[in-house]
Amino acid sequence: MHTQLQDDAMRTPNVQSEYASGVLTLTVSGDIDHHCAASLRTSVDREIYYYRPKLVLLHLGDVTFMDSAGLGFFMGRYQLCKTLGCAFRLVDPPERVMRILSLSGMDRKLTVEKVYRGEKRSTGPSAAEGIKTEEERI
Amino acid sequence: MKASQKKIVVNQMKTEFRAISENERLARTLVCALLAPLDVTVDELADVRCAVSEAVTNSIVHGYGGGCADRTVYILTTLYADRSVKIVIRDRGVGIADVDAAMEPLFTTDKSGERSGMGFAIMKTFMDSVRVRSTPGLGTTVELKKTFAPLAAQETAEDVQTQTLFAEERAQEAFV
Repeated sequence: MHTQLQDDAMRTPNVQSEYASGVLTLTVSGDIDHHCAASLRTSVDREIYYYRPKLVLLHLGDVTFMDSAGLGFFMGRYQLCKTLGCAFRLVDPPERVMRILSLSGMDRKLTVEKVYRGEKRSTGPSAAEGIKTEEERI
Repeated sequence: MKASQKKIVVNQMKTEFRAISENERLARTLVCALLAPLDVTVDELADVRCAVSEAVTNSIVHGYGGGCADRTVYILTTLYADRSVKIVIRDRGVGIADVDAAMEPLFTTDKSGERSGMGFAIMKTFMDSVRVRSTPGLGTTVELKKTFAPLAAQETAEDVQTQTLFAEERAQEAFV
């Protein structure tokens, strides 16, 4: 299952969605600012409501810019996932995104996975159980 | 105060645009474009880009209540000879009654849980100084300042490289 979600004409961030056995993988590319967050929110929430996954992985490797609107966006999705009873994780945030996450202390509230020198590392509340879930998936 | 009056201005840009959220990208891109000739580091540029985005977003979202096509956001960007920049972002929006409270990290007027309240905290972290003046009903002015690292470090690295090259050439010549 592979869908391309094209947003409005303003070439705002693009979301690619992939769903397999309870895991919804969303890959965001482009800028995440206040303007773009609105359409991003609609796209991402639509996917979450549609698939009702057990785990949402938000891949950030292709994010080119993010400001505090991105933090609000993550917080909102985290709350939504919590309400729906699914886990929510940020994957592979670029260094600039990571800086803003740690500045706000959000890297401790949310689970952030980062591949570091070929080794997967997690921070946040479910860091320890993170590896377990990865194994379950396989 | 005298020191700042003596500062030599090398370039200046006056920008004004409609207070709509589409222009957040435009604003940060324009300011960063003006900084390009200074040859600042990628990180320094990203700092400014993010801080400008925060201030402009504040003007549009809070000053003008989420955006207003017939209102305007003004930016005055000044580059100085000492590799510093001053960016003044001004709106004629609703203003902030308690600036100190608004500048506290995590302070937000938002109830939906979609906003972080980290705007001013990010500006403070990424810039050298942030000054806010606001009058309820008249608008808000945010003044951001940053001095960039001197180019010396970069030049030194190049010098070392060149010197090494010369030394190698000389060694080869001596060998021949």
